[in-house]
Amino acid sequence: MSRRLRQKYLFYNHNGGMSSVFNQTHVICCLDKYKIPVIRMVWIVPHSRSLSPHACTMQLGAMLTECDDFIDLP
Amino acid sequence: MLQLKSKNEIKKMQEAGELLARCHSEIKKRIKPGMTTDEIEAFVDAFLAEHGATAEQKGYQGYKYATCASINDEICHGFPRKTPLKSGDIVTIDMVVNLNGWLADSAWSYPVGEISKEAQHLLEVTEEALYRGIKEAQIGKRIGDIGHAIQTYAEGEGLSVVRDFVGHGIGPTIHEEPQVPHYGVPGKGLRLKEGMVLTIEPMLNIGDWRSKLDDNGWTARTADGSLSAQYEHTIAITKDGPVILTTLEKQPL
Repeated sequence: MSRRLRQKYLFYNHNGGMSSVFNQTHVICCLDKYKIPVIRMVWIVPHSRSLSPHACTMQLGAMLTECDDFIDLP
Repeated sequence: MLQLKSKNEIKKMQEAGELLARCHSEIKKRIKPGMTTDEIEAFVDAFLAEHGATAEQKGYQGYKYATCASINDEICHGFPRKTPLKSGDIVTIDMVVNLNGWLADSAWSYPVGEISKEAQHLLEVTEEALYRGIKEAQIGKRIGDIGHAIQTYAEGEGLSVVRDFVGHGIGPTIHEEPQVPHYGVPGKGLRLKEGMVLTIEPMLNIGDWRSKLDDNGWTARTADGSLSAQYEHTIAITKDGPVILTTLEKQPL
């Protein structure tokens, strides 16, 4: 029985595993007109508050392909 | 949350899947012009009861039937009905079998009598697309690899891939994580792991991919009225590659 695609925002939650500088990363995606997830917003919570935004950005690409779970936003 | 299954749990799902495959093979023998999808529904109900199984769809979120019976432009979740099938129709029968608490899910599109060349092409490409998707379900690959393989093949054959309905994880419940789109970008999305059990169930249309929902809140049909077909297997991801659970040709686990 086919599952109806969730049309609302997808919420990616990645906890550790990719980099020691991050302990929590949240990525919000929505679906484009072809129903492909498109990134809309990213939160990164580094262990070290001294980490620069540039360093965060550099890590982002690698992390996005490692998202291993998602749940619906409430 | 996504639940990985043990070898023992997958074996139980394989038993449910084998029964489901037997049910489909019986339906294949019976479908002919003049038969109704109500009759198929009654057959499935009786067949499952006779073998100690139940139809998991019945009662799922208010769905009333053991089968989904989707005819011609209906993509999925069509209701069984009293209208006789006629030569030239294609009908997709989708069902979820519960055997001893473990589920298996499989859908097949059937030709009724003589069908057009276009309809035959649709059936052949949809079935091949399913197997191309299954081939990608390997440990270490990603959900996007499955969808990409299906989409590139289907679109290369001039067909479109339905977006609004997707495959899913399955186990003791019908719709588990993750979602399995039949379109996508290679190398993106959830990484596949040993012990995942998924359905791969491409729905392809002769025309546009867009769909609309009937007033009954269940039945999806193509927005442009073109024919739609679907083939579906439940598969387990193992260290030896994907194992199809809903087949008569039982693979070792």
